Amino acid sequence: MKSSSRKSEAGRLGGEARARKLAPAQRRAVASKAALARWRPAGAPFHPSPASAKQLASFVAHFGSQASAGFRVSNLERSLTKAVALTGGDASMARMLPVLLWRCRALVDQTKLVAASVELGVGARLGYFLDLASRVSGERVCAAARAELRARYLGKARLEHLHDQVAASPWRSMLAEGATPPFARRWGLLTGTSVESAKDYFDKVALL
Amino acid sequence: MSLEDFDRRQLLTFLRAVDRNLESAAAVVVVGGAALSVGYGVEKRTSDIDVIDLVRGSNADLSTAVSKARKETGLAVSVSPATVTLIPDRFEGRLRPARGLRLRLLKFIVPEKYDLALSKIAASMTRPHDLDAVLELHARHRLSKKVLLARFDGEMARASVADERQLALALAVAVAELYGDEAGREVAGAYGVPAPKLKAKPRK
Repeated sequence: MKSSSRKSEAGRLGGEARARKLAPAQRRAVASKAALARWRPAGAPFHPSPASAKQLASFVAHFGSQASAGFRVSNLERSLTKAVALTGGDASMARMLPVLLWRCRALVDQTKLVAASVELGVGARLGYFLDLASRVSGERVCAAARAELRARYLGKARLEHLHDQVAASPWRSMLAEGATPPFARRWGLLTGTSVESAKDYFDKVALL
Repeated sequence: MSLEDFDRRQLLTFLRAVDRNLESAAAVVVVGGAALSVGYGVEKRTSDIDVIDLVRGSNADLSTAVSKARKETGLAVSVSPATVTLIPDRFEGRLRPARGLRLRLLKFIVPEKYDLALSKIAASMTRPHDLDAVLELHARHRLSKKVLLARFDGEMARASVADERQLALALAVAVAELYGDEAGREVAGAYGVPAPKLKAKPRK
């Protein structure tokens, strides 16, 4: 009787041989079905009430995309604010957030958004991300909310690093301080991220 | 489009789908996170594939293949020209194909590891987290401090950049993270950029 590893090897070789006999179109169809099943499971692309870091990451990545058409979150403003609160520990979230804010600019209740951000203690951060979203998109994103947050926080918030990991490293802190644009400092944040870098990402994503 | 970062397995799935949909052979030179992931096995996720050159094949064929690959796989990977990339001057002479990808028509070419590392170090001037990928590259494919610094000094130190001091500082930060605080201070001193103050050691 063959050992299990030899049987697996035989099975693998047999599978490759069977695949080679398929026409190119058939191979594409099989590969596509496998990839879609693996990377696009059926169901909503995000939780309707994202709460955990993983759920919020999924919400930020998918809300406003074609894949999420028809799906809603129960409290958009609160979900956005919770995502802002996570940006300190998640650099990807911080990069995606301006794009998401631009995407849902027409859907957001700006009064609720400001209230949620004040409640969660992230008003200055939200102000920074709304300001950045406006700069990279060339549009006035949530102008009323920005004005309210500017009145509350601009030039008043204590300077802190946007990213926790940077704050923990004396070397990275120094680098970030040198690279932070003036408008971010006015929101009390040492970001180490240029507007040009954020705009490069926005332009790549917005075009697709 | 979903705003996602992709891991190596997803990128490979996507590249194989591009390969299946090409009409004729194509060769792309890729930099950035995708080059590190596909070419060197770095696990840090990336949002897109930055193409610095299409050395073989047509843009139209590649573009069509990319669109079809997105639909087939459900992976909305952006494939776009790399924006301004600071990389050692003579990197083109050291390019290498990524191996073991099992592609028929598509050749995926990446810079040599020191060139990629220095490119990411330069990018960290405005994106501090790019240093994480350099650290992972070093963990997988050890980077010699001597070679890294010689390559920088010979091919990047006098690059036309808006802020030469910030570039030198980025290098000092990277060296500190790769080889220790003392090494970082030596580089900072050599290029005349500041180093962070040492915390006082507790008395015994």
